[in-house]
Formats: sequence, C-alpha cells, structure tokens
Amino acid sequence: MALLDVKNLSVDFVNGPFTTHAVKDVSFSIEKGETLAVVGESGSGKSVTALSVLQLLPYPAAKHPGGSIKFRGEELMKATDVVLRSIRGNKISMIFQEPMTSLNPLHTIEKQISEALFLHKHMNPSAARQRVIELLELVGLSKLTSRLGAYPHELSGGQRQRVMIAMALANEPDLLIADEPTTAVDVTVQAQLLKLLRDLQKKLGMAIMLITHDLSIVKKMANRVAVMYKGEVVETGETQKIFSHPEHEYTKMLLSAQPRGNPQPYDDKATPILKADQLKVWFPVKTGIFRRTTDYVKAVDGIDVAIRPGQTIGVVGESGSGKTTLGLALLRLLQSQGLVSFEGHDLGKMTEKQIRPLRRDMQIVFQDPYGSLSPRLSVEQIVEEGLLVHFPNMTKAERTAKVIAALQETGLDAETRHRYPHEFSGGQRQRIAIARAMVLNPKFVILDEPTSALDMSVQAQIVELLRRLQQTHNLAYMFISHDLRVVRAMSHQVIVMRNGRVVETGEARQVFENPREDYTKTLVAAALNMDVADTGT
Amino acid sequence: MNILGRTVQALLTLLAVSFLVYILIGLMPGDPVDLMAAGNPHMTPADLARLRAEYGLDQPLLARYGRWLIAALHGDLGYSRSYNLPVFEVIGPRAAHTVVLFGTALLITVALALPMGVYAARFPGGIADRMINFFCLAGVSLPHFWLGLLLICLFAVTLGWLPAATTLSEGSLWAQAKSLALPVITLVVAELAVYVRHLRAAMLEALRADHIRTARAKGCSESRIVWRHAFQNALTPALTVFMLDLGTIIGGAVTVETIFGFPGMGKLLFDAVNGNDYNLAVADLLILTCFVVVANFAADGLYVVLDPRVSLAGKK
Repeated sequence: MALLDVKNLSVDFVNGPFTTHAVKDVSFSIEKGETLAVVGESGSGKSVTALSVLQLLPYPAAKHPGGSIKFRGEELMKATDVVLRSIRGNKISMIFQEPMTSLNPLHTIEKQISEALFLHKHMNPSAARQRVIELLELVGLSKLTSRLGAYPHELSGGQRQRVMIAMALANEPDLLIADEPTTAVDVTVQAQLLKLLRDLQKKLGMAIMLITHDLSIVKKMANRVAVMYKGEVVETGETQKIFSHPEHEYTKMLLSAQPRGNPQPYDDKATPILKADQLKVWFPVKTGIFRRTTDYVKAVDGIDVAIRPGQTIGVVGESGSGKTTLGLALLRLLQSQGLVSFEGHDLGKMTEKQIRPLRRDMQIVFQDPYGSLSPRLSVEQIVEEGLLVHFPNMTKAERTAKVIAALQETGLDAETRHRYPHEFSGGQRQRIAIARAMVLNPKFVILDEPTSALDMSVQAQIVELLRRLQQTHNLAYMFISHDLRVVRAMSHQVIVMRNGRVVETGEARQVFENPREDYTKTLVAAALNMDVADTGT
Repeated sequence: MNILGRTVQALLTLLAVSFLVYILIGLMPGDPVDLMAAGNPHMTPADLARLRAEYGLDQPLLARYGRWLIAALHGDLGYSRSYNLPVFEVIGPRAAHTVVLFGTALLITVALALPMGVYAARFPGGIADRMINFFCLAGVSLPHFWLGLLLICLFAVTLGWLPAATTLSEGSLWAQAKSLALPVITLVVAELAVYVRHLRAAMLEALRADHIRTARAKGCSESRIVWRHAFQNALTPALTVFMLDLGTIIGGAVTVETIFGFPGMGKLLFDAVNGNDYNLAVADLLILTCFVVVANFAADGLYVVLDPRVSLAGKK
C-alpha cells in the first residue's frame, strides 16, 4: 500500500456563476521515503493539488467534484475536522513558498515551533523547549538556540525557511509536502536548503512531495516526477526517464524552455554610450532627536561601468547586493556621488530639467509586470505617454502609428492597444513594458529582473525578444538579475556584486566558466551546476 | 520617533489647537461686553469702551492670544466670566463626569465590537454577518441628536423606565447608573458600528495571511486560528482606527451631553461658546484635545506591546 494514494482528484473553484476547473482527474501515489516532484508552470494546478491533500483549500469556494485521497489507506477527502487536524502537522506536514509571510509575525520562533508539539504531543513546556532546541540544531540553526524569543522579522529569509522546516518536522511526519520551498530565497541559500531537505529525508525516512516550477531542483531532489499542465497530470515517471525520454509534448517543451544561446557580437571599439566612475550611493542612517547622520548604508560603493552600443552588461548578485540601486543611480533616478556620463553629458552636473531630454534615450524595464503598469490606463495610453512628454508636437495619428509599431515589434497585436493591463498574462505585460520603453527608440535600456516573475518558457521568449531588439536597434543593455542562467544567455560582460561592491567582473563566458573569486564560485555552483549535469547526461 | 519627539509633537499639537480655538472664538461676532450691554440698557458707549479696555478686549486678537498664552504657560487658564470662578474649578467636576460617561461607553463598545467583528469576519456573507452589517449601517446613519431624542421619547416619556436628564453626584448609585443609561446607549450605538466594521475588515485581512495557512497546516483548530493567530494580528490595524476615531467622539460629546443635559465638558463647551465665555471655551476644548492626544500616545505605547516589530524608536 502506498503512503499517499491520490485517485482522480478534481478541484473546482466556484465564484458566483463562474466555475474554474483548477485540477482535473489527477492521480498519483507516493511511497514511503521517496520524493515525488510535481512540476508545472504557474496556473497548472500543482499548488492546489498539494493543498488538497491536507484539505487546506478555501472551502466551500473550492469543491471536489470527485476523487479520493488516501493516506495509509485512510480517506482524507471526506474526513472530519478532528481526523484532519490529527494528521495535519503530525503525520503530514507542509512548508510553503513565502518565508517572509508564512510565519506569524507576532509569535516567537519558540512559540511557533512548540505549538505543533503542544497540539499533537501534549508535551509539557520544558520538554517542548528541549525538543525545539533539538529541532533548531537539526535544521542548522544552532545559533538560534540561545535566541528562542526571536521574532520572524529578526531572521533572514533562509533562516525563516529553516524555522518553517523545523516546525514541519517537529512531530517527525511520514510525508512532507514542500510547496516551492526555495523559490523566494537566494540561489546560495536555495542550494543549502535543498541539501538540508535531502539530509533530513535520509535521517528521518520521510517521503517528500515537492512542488516546483524549477526543473534543476527536480533533477537534484526527486525519484519520480509528475508533470502538470492546465490542471492535469500529463506525464509521470522516474526522474531519469522523464529527463532523457520525455513523452508528452508539454514535457518536451518544458525541458527545452531554458533560456539558451548567446548574445550577438558588438563593436568593442565603439565609444561607450554610458560611463560611470567610482559611483557611490550612500544612504545616511539618522539617529537621535536631531536626526544626525551617524552612519551610512553603502548600497553602491565605488563602481566603474562602461557600456557600448550593442553591448549587454549583466549585473548579478543576491538580494540586497545593490544591483537595482546601481541601475537607478546610472539613470539619475537616485542621487549619487561619482561621475556618470551619458553620450558625453556629465549627468552629475545637470539639473533634472536638463536631463529630461536625455531620458528618451535611456529607459528602464522593471521586474514586476503586475505592479509597474498602471491598471487605469489602456495599453495605448501607457505606451504613448513617453511620446507625449518628449514629442509634444506629434499628432495623434503619428503617435498611434508609433505605438502600433512598438507593440508589433514586441510581438503584440495592434488591437491590444485598446485593452487594459489586467487582461494580459505576465509575459504579455512584460512585452507591454518593453514596448513602452522601445517606443522612444532609446539607446540604452536598463532591464531590472525583467524575467524573474515569469515562467521558464516565457522567460526564454522574452530573452529572445530582447536579443532581437538589441540587434535591430544596436541597443546598449544593462541586464540586472539574480538568475545566472538568463544573464548568461544575455550578457557580453558580467559584474558580480555583493554588499554594494564589485566582487568580480569580466567577459561573461570567462566569469561563468572560470570564476576567480570564491563568492562567484559559490554563486555559479549553486545556480548552474544542474545545467552542467544536464549537458553531461 | 522617540518618546521625547512624540512629547514635543503632542505639545505642538496643543499649542496649535489653542491658537486656532482662541482665534476662532475671537472672530465670532460680538464679545462679552456686548452681552453686558444687552443686559443693561443704561450703559453708555463710553462705559463700554472703558470695560473693553479693562478686559483688554480693545487690543488686537493676536496680542490677546499672546497674553493668554503666557498666562496659560504659567498654569493660569483664567477666570470664567459666566460662572465667576477660575476655569479649573468649573471644568474639574465636569471632566470627571465626562470621563465616566465616555469611559463606560467605550468599554461597552469595545466589549461588544470584539465578538461581533470577529464573528462577522469568520463567516463573511453569512446570516450573522449580514445582520451585523445591517445594524452597523443603521447605527452610522443615525445622527446622535436624533437617536438621543428617539430614546428619550421611548424610554423616558412613553415607558418611563429611565430618566431623560442625567443627574450624577446626586441620588443612589443605582439612580446615577440609570441616569447614565440613555446617553451611554446613544454613544454606543453610533460608535459600535464604526468599531465593528473596522475590526471585521482587519480580521478578514488577518485571516487571509499566509501564516494562517501555516497554522492550519500545523493542525490548529479554527477557534485557535481565529483567536491565537488572526485576532492578535488584526488588533494593531484596528487600534489605529479606534484611536483616530476618538476625535469624533468629542463632537459626539457636545451633542449627546447637550441633549441629555449631562453636566460634562461637552455641554460646558456648548454653554461657554453661547455665552461668549472665551477662557472657559478655550480651556475646555484644550482639555478635550489633551484626552485625544494622550489616548493616541497610549496607543503608540500599546503598539509596542502588541507588535514586536514596532519599537519606540519608530522603526517597523
């Protein structure tokens, strides 16, 4: 008998007269001690499937028209609340994607971990405290055993995720459901957490159901894989077999969807369009009644950059390394010290008003395609706004023609200009954001994590689009990303940043293949070693 | 901001309020001497001018405010012309009455709002939620003075169960409590709606948080999720609104106390403005403002207790 046996599971979400079939007729099973990865892109129903196991969906808005979920032979689908509560956090536990919000901000870590012990084991406080310390040591948080009264906001994202794991393992469950457990953390932390999960699995003999969109994680972790697409499981099998001989079209597409290829060559003798020398952005730390500046947060601390037409400089680094601040300072969207010159104009000596005409030549595309487009403006209004500012004499017809050209160049239909951002998918929105930047025919574009919020297959398309635009218009790019695979597919040169400083810089190929600094080595190993294994098999 | 900063801010608020109130009352047509003249037809224009000079009313408004401020900073808020007593002696007992009235109303409001708001949020769209919604809508829609009059009609006139006017400091404790009932009910009905609506919204928000899902996945029961996990998180945002709402209570104080003839600071303010009693009106309003400022101060302190992410240094 399998540990978990899911048969013909369906989930509908009912919203007034509308019913969405989120999961359709899904079947899979998990044996004792094995890892099953459920992969798929956003909206494929993988998280909903995971939440169904413990019946954690928002019932009654969510409904199960059919199916069965058996855990050790016991039906969970129609189980009473009491039965479910005795299983949740005890026999089957769960960890979630967002370490920042998945812990109660008002409870200490001790309280949160020991709650699971009180609920299921009815432990007395001193025994529970002992067990909490044991668990913290187990998940590699020995440092925290003397700080049991710490609150989540005092911990880093990686530490919080470890607390989540400690909480989930408190009662030594038979099955751990991990829903995108490493998606929200930096690559080096991701590698550590995955290793921790593997080690713990070996030690405790539990089964893991791993929900992820990241195939490199699947390869590293799973015995078997279930591929989900539009609410259905399209393919199940041994990990090795799925990777080497995918059968379903969608699986093949998913496997080949990694951003690939190399940037086009550029003229490295050309005069740099943008130069920065010893660029510094220091944010003052003010204390006391008189708000005196007592220290500085050195977000960017002495960085040199030179970008030529047609060239892409990739900026990589973990969160908080100063990548975005660097980009904003180069565009003078932030005050900075040090020289920044754009086409020979010293931006530091110019007023905001004098810089404004130059702004049409330097544009920026942001990470979040949901937050960076105004929901109240139509696509045409969004795209034409730059034209209104920089070409006030243009007629309406000329503007519309420009807007249509920009939309078509980014792969969108001319008619989309009458619609509003919420009607588009993430990838389409990012195309709108790119069209908004491109309509002005800029010479330099900062791309700040333009692919990070997108599914892998969509990422590959956006990378293609950006490379094509660069070639057509001889654009200079600064490509900011924490995702080394995308950076490698885009960049000629790479700057590796940490704590506001440059750790290593050089030709992209050289940095990725022969990193000199230890930090770069860790970063590259954590992010790319799966790819290396890929080409090996 | 630190404690010192907050204190300075509070003092500046009081200063600004005193200036505004003094100037506004000063700009009203007529002055105390006009009232005296109306009461005594034998006064000549020369008498009036002499009286004005004596009271300092012939000087520009700003100069008068400056003199008042200096005296006030020395602890002398002046003399009430209509009561012939120092303003402190007039306000003192009335302030105590107002504290009793509003303290009772606030306690009852909170005691009712907590379960109602939480229950409404737990089953949104359910029958209880819709009934609570309806009640809240009715509550905010009824102005104080109208509801107060209706209550007097029903309970004092028709049924004769409760007295229409309030008599504190006289009669037995029971009689005093009974005389408090109608003004308290009036205040509770109006404020309850606001509190319930905000608490419901804060609870709905808190119940949607990711960590609630974590708690459920741990095996917590629904009541534990509601009270241990969601309620605590809903309290901070709700508290903010409650404290902001205290200001509107002052407006309520004037109408409710006037309707029920309640011997408190609201009624006193009403009388002082009508009687052109500058010193009394200014002092009364300043003390009411003080209540609000102190309450907000206390709320800031409560945040620190309720939410470990907030410190008095003002970082979040």
